[in-house]
Amino acid sequence: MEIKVINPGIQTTIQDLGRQLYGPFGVSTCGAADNYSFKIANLIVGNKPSEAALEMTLVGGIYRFYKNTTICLSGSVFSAKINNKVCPFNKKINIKKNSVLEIGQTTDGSRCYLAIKGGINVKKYLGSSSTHLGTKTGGENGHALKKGDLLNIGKPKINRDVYNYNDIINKVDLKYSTKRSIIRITKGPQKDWFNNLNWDTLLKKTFKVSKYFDRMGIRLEGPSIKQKNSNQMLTQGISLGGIQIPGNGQPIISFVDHQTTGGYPVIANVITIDICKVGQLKKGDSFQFDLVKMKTAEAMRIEQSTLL
Amino acid sequence: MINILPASDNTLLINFGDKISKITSLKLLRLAEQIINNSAEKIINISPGYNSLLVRLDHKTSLSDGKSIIKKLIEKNQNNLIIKQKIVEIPVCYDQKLGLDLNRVIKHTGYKLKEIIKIHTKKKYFVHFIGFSIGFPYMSGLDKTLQTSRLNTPRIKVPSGSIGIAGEQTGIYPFSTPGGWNIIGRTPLKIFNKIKPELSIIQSGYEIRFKSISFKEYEKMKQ
Repeated sequence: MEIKVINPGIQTTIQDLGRQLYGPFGVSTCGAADNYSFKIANLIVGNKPSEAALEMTLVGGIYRFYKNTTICLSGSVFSAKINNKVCPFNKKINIKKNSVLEIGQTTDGSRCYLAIKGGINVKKYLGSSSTHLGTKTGGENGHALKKGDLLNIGKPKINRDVYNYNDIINKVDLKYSTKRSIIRITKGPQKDWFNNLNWDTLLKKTFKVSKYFDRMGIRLEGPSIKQKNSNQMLTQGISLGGIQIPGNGQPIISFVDHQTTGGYPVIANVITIDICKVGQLKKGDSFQFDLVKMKTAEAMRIEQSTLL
Repeated sequence: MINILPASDNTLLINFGDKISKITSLKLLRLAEQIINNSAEKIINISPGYNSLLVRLDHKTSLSDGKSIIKKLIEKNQNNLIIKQKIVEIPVCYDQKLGLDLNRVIKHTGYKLKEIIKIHTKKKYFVHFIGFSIGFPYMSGLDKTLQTSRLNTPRIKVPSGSIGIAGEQTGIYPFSTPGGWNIIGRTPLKIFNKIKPELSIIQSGYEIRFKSISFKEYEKMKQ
């Protein structure tokens, strides 16, 4: 027992980079909503980028540490204090035994990450520590952290020669994920089911995040988008960031905990490197979509993967 | 014809035509198995649907590399359609206490409960794929006379073990999730093994036959 949850905030879950290859059993991938900030937090404390960490939503919570350790907060800036002293973001911070970390409300987007040197040590489910709230699997017994939960810290196991952290941190923009007024997309599998007028609407109008936004999906409010034909979908696999258009014309962005398959046409898909921005959206945020070429999005993804 | 197109900058959608059929599903499931066994580094997830397989690539893998890996596997795959096939009997209690939408289906079809049970238990259903939420088997071939459209407003919580019908499909909710299918009964069996999914009693490619049991039997088996 090395960390005690005194107050869990609104929704704090254990996440890593997700559960692989269990899609054929209907198991969601899950993983950090803002994977960019998540990796940065881990890198700063000297972890592998995929080490399990805490994802906090809107309000962070209060945690007592029973061990000397090293932590880093990254993502949207939340008001944060250690033993009543302000705790900066994107900085490696040594924390003393019996310290209390208090993370209040966000001052920006919806999520921040708390990485701890060695990672959160929790029993993995199907190869991943990520929590899936919908099916109560993974993480801390499948639920968001509760008052009184006790967490263990893993053993730091990194070979420092493999990554040059300082180099990486210097190259990346630590606030990249929270710039979210423009979200870039590529055309989706059912792109031809929508006429030019509807594409214009998607690309030129502003969309607003409704109150229904969670790790499964983000429902948007805005001008209606209608399918031009009466084609019926056969249930098919959904990709992360797929923009589905249901009958009511209000787009839904499928997100990290999304179902493996769905039956709504997918007009477009958020590009991989902008998924982190979607993970920072919250109720009332307005943004526009910007269409980019598949090749461009692919090249940016591969370039970023060599950095992070 | 199989075609492979990017669905996003890190996913490829492999399309196997536009119809629901057992042969299509067998081809697709075989390919899914091949992918899992052969390319775990570059392909990090797959989701089968009725006529397609969505493949998610590792962030370092290009779409063209992904495509050529899949093409090679498809070529190898062509003449080999042997997949573990099995018929599994699933006991179902079609009592109105558990079949939450039986009245709706009775109204819609004009059948009495007895007839609905008779028709639903008469056929074998092929499990095309597991999708939606964990362990949910998608089965097609529901008798035309039983076909009922989805609920207008999906239920927030469908009880675990519920047997649903929607259009020509029938399925089982292994866990309590939201859902919009018409619930006509419930099975006492745990159809999905959370710890070892590959040991679940229902797998893609299997055939399912439903067997009607009484409420008493249901309660007994449930224990």
